[in-house]
Amino acid sequence: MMCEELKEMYELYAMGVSGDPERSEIAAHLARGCDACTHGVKLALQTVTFLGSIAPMVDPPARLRARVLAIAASQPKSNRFWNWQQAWMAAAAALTLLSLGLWNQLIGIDRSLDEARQQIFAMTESQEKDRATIQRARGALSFLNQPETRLVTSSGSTIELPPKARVFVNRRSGVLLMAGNLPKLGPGKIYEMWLIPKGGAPVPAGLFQPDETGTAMHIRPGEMDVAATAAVAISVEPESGSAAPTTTPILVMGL
Amino acid sequence: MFFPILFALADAKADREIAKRLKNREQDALGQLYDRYGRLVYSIIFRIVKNSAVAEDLVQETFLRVWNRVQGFDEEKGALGPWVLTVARNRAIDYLRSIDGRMSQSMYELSGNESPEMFGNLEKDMLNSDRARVLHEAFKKLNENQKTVIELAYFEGLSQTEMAEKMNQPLGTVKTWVRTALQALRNELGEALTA
Repeated sequence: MMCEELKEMYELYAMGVSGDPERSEIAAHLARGCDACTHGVKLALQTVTFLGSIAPMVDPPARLRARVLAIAASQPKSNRFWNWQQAWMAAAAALTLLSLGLWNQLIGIDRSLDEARQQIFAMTESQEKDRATIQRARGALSFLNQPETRLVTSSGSTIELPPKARVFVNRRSGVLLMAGNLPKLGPGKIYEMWLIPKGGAPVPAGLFQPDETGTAMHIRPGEMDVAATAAVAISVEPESGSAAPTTTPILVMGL
Repeated sequence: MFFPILFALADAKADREIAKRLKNREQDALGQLYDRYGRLVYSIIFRIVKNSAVAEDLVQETFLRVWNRVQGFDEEKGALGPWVLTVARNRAIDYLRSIDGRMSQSMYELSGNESPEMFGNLEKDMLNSDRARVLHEAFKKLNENQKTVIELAYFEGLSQTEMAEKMNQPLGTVKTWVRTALQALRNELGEALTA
């Protein structure tokens, strides 16, 4: 296809939502360094970036900055100089090993590397299986929570499922909420979870929206004093969230 | 609502410095990057996934990806902000697609549009913050159907076929809405550039 035929698809390509054959054609043009398409897609990326400004601004929780900075602390501090230095050191070490006739040890190291690779492969496979299990669990949960899903009793009658939730608490890891059959909210509204201390005012525990089936999973990470908490509640709030509930909670789960 | 994005995207000099320091693996630079873009990144991701806990995880994943891939970024030519925001949106859309069972599509399509090289030579245009304002105004002028398809593409990562299914409209109609919406945005931006 000619660039002229593709130019109306640049923004969709930049958003990753274009379909074939245009998607493959644009990718091919970019791969062979087509100036017109490269320029067009770059401008489209810019336009798409500005589309982000349509999103309402929401303040992230203060703890998030520390979580992000923990990334840098946990990563190796390698840089190009160090890589070169490592390369020279490795070369020198290899020569030394060769001169000393330490092939057997090298072979041993090679075997160890192979074993390590196999272990990594096995761990990756295990992670993939875990991911598949989670996907199946999500699928089952989604099925159970779809508004059309009916509970069929032994007598053959059906029962409509009302909003419901399960709460899991862990003093070190926080609160996990799994909710279903939640009504779809109007524009500008969102669900907010609350931790209600014994004898205290509700404390905000995060905002969430259910998916189209009315299902939601929400985690308030971090430590919590389970013994001092009386209940977990959910209320409908303005989209930016509230410091205290502004509506009557639709669900209250006592601990 | 959109002024923060203008301010954050406009200071190319500060971005260059941050990118250089990120490439030198300076941990403080990641903090500066977060201070400049963290709120925007969180807002976009939250708008997409609509869950604060998931949004937090994806924000962390976004900055991890930037930290790990910044060596391929050319700070002299590249636009750091748009790259970070693209990585953020991609993480959120990938998440949406994974829970919708659309994973096979995601990895193929999104990986190409966040390559650091694609954000080279954008700097001059990004400095013109009027373009963001113009685009925002142009979006407000779109009719409801046009706004909806743009939002479905950007915030839900839906293809035109998926939009047609979701909106229960013929594919041709949806394609017309998308084409005319993008044309309107392009026209407004084009006029702003030549004015």
